[in-house]
Amino acid sequence: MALNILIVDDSPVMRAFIRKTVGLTGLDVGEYCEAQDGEHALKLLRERWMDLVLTDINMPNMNGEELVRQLESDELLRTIPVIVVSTDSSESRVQQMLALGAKGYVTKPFLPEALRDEVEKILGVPHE
Amino acid sequence: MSETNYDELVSGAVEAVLETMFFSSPLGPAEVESSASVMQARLAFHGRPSGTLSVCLSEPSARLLAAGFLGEDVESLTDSQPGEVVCELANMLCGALVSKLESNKSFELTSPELLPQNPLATDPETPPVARQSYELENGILTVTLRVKADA
Repeated sequence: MALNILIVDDSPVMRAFIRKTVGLTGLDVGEYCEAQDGEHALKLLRERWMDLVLTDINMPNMNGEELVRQLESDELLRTIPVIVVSTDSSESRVQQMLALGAKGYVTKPFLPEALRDEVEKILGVPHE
Repeated sequence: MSETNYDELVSGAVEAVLETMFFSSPLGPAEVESSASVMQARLAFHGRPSGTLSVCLSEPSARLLAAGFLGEDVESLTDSQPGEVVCELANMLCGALVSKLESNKSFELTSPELLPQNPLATDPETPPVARQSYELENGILTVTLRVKADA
C-alpha cells in the first residue's frame, strides 16, 4: 500500500532532503506533502489523509511540540504516527516528545538508514 | 563542564555533519577566509550555557555543499538554495554541539539567519571560545562558537 507522507520543517532544503532520503529507503510512497510549520501541517491534515508525519521541532508560528499536542487532542488525527526529526538529541527532549505522543525520534544529522529504520519500525512496513 | 574542549567539540560536529548529511568531509585545517565573496549564517542557543554559533564559507563552496545536500547539479540550484543550506548547516552544527555541551538538558535554538558579508564579525561582549577553519573542496569553512558566561 502506498503511503502518504507529510514533511513539516521551516527549511525548504531540509524538506527536500527528507523527501529525497525517504525516496532512497525503498518505501512505497503515494503522495508527499510539505508544510513549513505546525499550523500549516494541521490545515493540510484536516484536508487530506496522511499515513505518516515527519516533523521538526524548532519552527515559527507553531512548533513541533505544539503540533504533536494538537494532533493528540484530535480523535482522528491522533491515529497518524508522528516521527520527530530534530537537531535536539538531548534525552530529555526525546522523552518529552515521546511522552507527548510522537512515535519515533530521529536526530539530525542522520543517515538515510536511520530514518528508514524508524519509519519501518513505526509502520511495520519493510522496504522493498 | 568546567574543562570543555570547545575546539574538539567543533571538530567532531563538523566532521559528523559534513560526512552524514553533505557527503563531504574537511580536507584539513585552514586559515580564515578573507575573501569578500562569502556566505555567513548565525543562530543562538539558549540553555545552560547560552551562546551563538556562526558558519562562514565561500559562495562557490556553499553552492557545492548545497548541491551535495540536495543531490542536484550545481547548475540546477536556485538562487536561494545555497543560503538556505548554509543556514541548515549552522542549525545542525549547533544542535550537534549543544547536545555535547549538556547532553541531558534541552536547548532552545533560534532560527538561523544569513548575515551581511562580514566573515570576521566580532562581538566585543562575547569573544569566541572556538573559531576553526577547515579546507573543503573549493573553499574554506569557518565555524565560530561563542558561549556566554553563566548569569
